[in-house]
Amino acid sequence: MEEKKLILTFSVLGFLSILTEIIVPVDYHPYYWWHAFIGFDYIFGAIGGVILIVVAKWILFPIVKRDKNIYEGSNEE
Amino acid sequence: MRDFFPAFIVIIPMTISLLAPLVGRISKVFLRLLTMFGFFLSVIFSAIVLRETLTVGNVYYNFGNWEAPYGIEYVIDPLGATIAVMVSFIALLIVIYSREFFKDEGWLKNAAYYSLFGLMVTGLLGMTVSGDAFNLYVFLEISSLSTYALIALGGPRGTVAAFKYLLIGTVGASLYLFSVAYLYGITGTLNFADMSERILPLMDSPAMILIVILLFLGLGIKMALFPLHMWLPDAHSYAPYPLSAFMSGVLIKVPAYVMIRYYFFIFDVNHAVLQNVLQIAGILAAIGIVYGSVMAIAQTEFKRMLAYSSVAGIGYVVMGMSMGNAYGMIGAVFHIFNHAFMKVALFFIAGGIKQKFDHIKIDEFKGLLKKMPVSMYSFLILAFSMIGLPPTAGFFSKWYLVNGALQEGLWFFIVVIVVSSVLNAVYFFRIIEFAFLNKEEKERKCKIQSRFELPLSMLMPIVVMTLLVLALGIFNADFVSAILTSVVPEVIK
Amino acid sequence: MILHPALIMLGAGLLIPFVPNTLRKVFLILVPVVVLFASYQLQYGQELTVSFINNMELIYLKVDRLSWIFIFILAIVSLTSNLYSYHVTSGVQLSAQFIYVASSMGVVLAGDWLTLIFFWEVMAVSSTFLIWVSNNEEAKKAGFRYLLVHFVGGNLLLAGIFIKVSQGQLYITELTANMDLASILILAGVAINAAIFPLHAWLPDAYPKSTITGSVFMSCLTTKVAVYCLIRVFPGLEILIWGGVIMCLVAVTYAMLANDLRVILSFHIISQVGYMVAAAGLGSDLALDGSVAHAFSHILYKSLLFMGAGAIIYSTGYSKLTDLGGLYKLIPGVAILYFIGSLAISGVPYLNGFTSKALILSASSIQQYPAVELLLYLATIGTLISTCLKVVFYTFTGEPKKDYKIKKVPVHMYAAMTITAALCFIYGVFPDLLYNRLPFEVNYVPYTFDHVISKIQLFLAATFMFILFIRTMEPKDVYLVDADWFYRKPFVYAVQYTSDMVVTIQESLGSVWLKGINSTVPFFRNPLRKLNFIFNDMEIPDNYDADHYRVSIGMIMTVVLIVFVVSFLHLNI
Repeated sequence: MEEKKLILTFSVLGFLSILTEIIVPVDYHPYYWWHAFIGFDYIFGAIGGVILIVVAKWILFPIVKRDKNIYEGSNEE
Repeated sequence: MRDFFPAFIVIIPMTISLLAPLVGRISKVFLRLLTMFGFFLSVIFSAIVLRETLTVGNVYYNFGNWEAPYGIEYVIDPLGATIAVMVSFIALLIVIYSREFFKDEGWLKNAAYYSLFGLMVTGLLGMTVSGDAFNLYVFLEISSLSTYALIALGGPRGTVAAFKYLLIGTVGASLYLFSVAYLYGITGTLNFADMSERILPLMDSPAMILIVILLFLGLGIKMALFPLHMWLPDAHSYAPYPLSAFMSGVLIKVPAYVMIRYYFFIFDVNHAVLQNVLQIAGILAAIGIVYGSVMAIAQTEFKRMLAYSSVAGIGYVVMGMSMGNAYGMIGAVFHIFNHAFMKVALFFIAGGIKQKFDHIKIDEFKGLLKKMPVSMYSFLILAFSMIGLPPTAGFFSKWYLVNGALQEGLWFFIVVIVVSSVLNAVYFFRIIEFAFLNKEEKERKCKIQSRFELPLSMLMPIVVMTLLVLALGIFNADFVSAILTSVVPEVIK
Repeated sequence: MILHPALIMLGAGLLIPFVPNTLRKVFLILVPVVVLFASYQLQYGQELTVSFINNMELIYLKVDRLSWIFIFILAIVSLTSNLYSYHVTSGVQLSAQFIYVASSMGVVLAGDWLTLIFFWEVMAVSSTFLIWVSNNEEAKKAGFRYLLVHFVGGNLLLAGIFIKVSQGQLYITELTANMDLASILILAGVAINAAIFPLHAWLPDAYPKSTITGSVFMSCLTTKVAVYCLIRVFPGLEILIWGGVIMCLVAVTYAMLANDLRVILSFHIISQVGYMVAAAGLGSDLALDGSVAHAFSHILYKSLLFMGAGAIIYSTGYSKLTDLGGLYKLIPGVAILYFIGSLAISGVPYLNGFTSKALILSASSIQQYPAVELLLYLATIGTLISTCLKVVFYTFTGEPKKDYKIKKVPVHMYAAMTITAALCFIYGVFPDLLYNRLPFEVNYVPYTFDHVISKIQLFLAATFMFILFIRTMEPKDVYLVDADWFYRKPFVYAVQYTSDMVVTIQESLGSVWLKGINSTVPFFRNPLRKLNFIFNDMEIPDNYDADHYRVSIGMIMTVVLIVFVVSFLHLNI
């Protein structure tokens, strides 16, 4: 139930933010094409977030996961 | 009277040591005072002679007024004088320090100890001031024989270690004697100055190779250069505590000084023979440094750890000698003094702990900071010096050595120095961690009562030595320039 | 009269163990105030020198725009951190704190290489003590590893400096144009301290095991001083750009998986330092300004975050996310302050992270490294997800996972955190306060509508994704192996013989690790074990036993003979 409410809130806010960008006259000084693209940051945030989570959880985690005690018992001096 | 000072440096300790048994029969206290006074005079005389060598020039003394090269003469240059000052000063501190260890023994043991100690120092001082090859051998044997007897005073293990050292040391001294015999054979003289002139055309002869090697082996055994060091760990661990300090600090340094004297001042160091032997020396020294440090880590007993550390220390000195440039020599000579002070102070601390708690295993260092703060803080400074952290003297001797190696492009040496510093850090920081950061594990009984943590006769030498290590580091510029003037021209030549 | 802040701090650090306990509290606060005053008074262009051997003049105080701004923030943070550590009574710890800050300041103010390396080494030693005072087994071992890593780094730096000084270059200059062996060695030494991937593993290994006040100090000092060195010595070095970007992303990914509070924050140090390193690599005026500004802001919000984490650990006794939860109801003040810090690190507008990150991102696009800009931007998302969302969600919201006996968080901790949070706000709302003090002139306006709306969109989207993937982000209590595997493992294996290695590889994975590690111990306990054949003995004792390995006299003589023969042959050839 909580989750549903959160999703709703954030969708609305996201929508509003893109709307703001469309309505208000923004002075871009674009160096690259994406600086002037409306809503670019929202998309970037969404896709980027997904990529990061996926990479972290499904690619990196299996590689680096070890039991807590792999260096245990060593008298490293 | 002034002219006799060089002779006095040697004669006074000798007289004292001969008188000691007699005096000791009467009163132990008087015996101690007499010995202290004797060494004190030695220090004074050496210092006066040192000043003279720095201002006027080399000091000469002919025995029996027989002119050199027929008679035996003493030749003292700044390097020799400085070493003489160091030897007598440390001997003085050791005598002060020995009070606790021998005050409960009978008169015979006391008399034997102080008398033999005096003879040993006589021998060493004689080695530094002598200007004659055979005379040097005589003094070498005097000091060696008294050392063997002294080590045996350290209990049953000491006796065995002394016997082993006796056999090996005699071999070493004999090798030295052989080389002197060869030298006499090919040059016809025993006097150093004369020899250095006569040897120049003879440098190519096959006898030279033998002489150089015999010297290398003989002196190498005496100064515990890897792999000829095997007598050292036992001898230094089982000797009486004050004696271990002296041995590790001074006894193995004087043969190194003799080697410098022979290789650099008398022989032509640029000749292929010497270049080759110094190469071997350098490699053995480098291995010895790493070996000493690794073995030191493995030890469970503090004294033995320090003994192995001394093997590494001599390695530094020989490595500096083998580099063949000014920085290397400066580093080597500086390290002679530096290591002497550090090791003596460390052994003093070891003896202090033994006297107070009757143990010396490394595990039992835990929580020692509360009980013996002054000693432990001194230990901290000394550890910094052994590892090579500024502004202690240890940093500067390693600095000079690294500079020397850089100049010659000897990357292997630099790696060895760096690796050994890290290894030194391991075993010293382990003790620091135990002492400073751990709580005491079980209750210990204090064996002695005194106002400070140790009796003043033991505490004062520790503090003095530590301060000297710091001073040597901070004021090394003056010291180094003095060495520069006397030693380096010989090397660059 | 010029007051040298580092020397004042150093003197205080050496005195503090001898000062009685009540006076110590006064010291704790008074000294940083004095130092702050002294730092503020420093004028650009002041220099102090002292003579050293060989007629070298050492410059131990050199003030220019770059060093001033660093000294200023170091002084500020020493005040807040000291305030935070008001409750510490251990003389050793306090002394180490002071000396650590003092040596950091010493490095920043150094004008010549020798002063720099001297203070650098002091930094390494004093920070090791901060780890060791934790007094548990793990901390001891981590402290040793930290010491060894920093010793190696320090020695590399020393080697490079030796070469430079013996070539006659005593004073610190830019080395980017002239990358010879010495410069590479110096770069390596600095890179280790800056935790550049893959030399970064010591940081998440050591920082979480320090005391809670110790971590606050460590987070602000070692890496930032290294960044300062990079800005001063290697600006515009291209490899730093990519090193920085990699640091950013890899660290952030690890942070998303990590479980312990301070481990996450440690990875974030690496991530944010990645921004600074990349900016230093970009080299333009704007980029270097960005790097400095980011260091400035980072010191503030990182110390806030570590203070918050420390407060959590102090009051609940737990530090792992799997053990925490629902703390908002129990310690709301800490929750709010931590939240502010995490917003700052993510770069939310009106906090200082925004103003400094913007500089770096703009610089990277102006200089035509679009990939860099996008990748750094990506890292921001990661930062938000891991520090802000994940930690806040799993620590402060939800249900408590354990029964906590809450220790009240002391007033001085709250005070220190509030001051730092306030500074974050101030520098966020009035960025010019910082911009005016940056090394190069700044004509940058961060609060354009464009920038603000972009950031807001980014955050909304990322948060949205986080919510959708909330199950996946749940922390697990496992160990994440890191790049230090490469030297911790070979260190273990290198002393085994090859045959052992072959045999153990054939065994199952679990016992391989354990066996390998346990075999170094015997070596160091008894280095002669492999030489047992010389001693003709069946039993190999575990510890080096002197009596067991005594060499016979015959053996000694043999060795003498061998040396004789070998040297004779060598000399004859």
